[in-house]
Amino acid sequence: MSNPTEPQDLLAQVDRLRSATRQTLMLDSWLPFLVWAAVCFGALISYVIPSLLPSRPYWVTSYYWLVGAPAGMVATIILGIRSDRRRPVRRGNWPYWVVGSVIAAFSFSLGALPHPEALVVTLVVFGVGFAVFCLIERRPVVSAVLLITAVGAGLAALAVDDRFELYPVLSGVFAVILVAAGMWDRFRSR
Amino acid sequence: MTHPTVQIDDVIHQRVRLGILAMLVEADAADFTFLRDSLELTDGNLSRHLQVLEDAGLVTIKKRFEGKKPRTWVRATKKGRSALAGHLRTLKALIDQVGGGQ
Repeated sequence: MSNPTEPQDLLAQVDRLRSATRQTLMLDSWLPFLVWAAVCFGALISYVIPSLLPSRPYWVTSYYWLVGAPAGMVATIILGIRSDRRRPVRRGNWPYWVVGSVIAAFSFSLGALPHPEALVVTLVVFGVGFAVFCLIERRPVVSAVLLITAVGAGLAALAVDDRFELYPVLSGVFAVILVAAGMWDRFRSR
Repeated sequence: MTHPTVQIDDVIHQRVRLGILAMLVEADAADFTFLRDSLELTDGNLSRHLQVLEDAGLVTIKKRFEGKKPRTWVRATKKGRSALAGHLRTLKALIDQVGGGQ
């Protein structure tokens, strides 16, 4: 550590230390992105597999979020607790609990409704919720991309006739964005 | 108008203690070893500075066992957070005043 005495140098040192602390807080923060990317990818699979089967059991697609949302939430909590133990700095987790619970509750309840609209709305809610999460995590670019995608998904849902066809596309788009954000985070935290 | 130097608090203005508070306001709590390594201090040196901050009511220190490992967690108090914010404002005012006077 340097030995600054001038106000400018002291302020520069404060900024440096705060940034280093933020960086340490970000360790393992890429994991939730990959967890929820897997959940979105699962949503895509839950559409593709029934569409390939002769009986077309699309109830699997409708009920996917009943399993996917709680599974994603539980995985995020377990990973969060594990990385909290490893990190030498900690922070209050309440914003993540609030955002995570809202996403999971909406995904859980909307995903269970037997309408294609409900599935698309689930993804829009998911996108907005994750955008808020990214904003709390100080990732304004990812947050903006997710928000734009969510709004775009909402507008596309209003414009197209077959919203059920839109659902796998949106699931895939969200999965790709979250994988990219997670990998970028991993790269930055190294 | 009061000169900004009048508002400088010697407890916080010391560079190590300023560094400790700067790190603590970013996080909810920081491990003793993390602070020691980041600030490049010895155990004794950091303990002394933490004691000064604790006596001034700016931080709280809690020791506990996590598994079999003893860990010391340091947190900034509400008073510590506002004291740091005030001190940073004072430093900026000082810079502006000196810059304006040149």
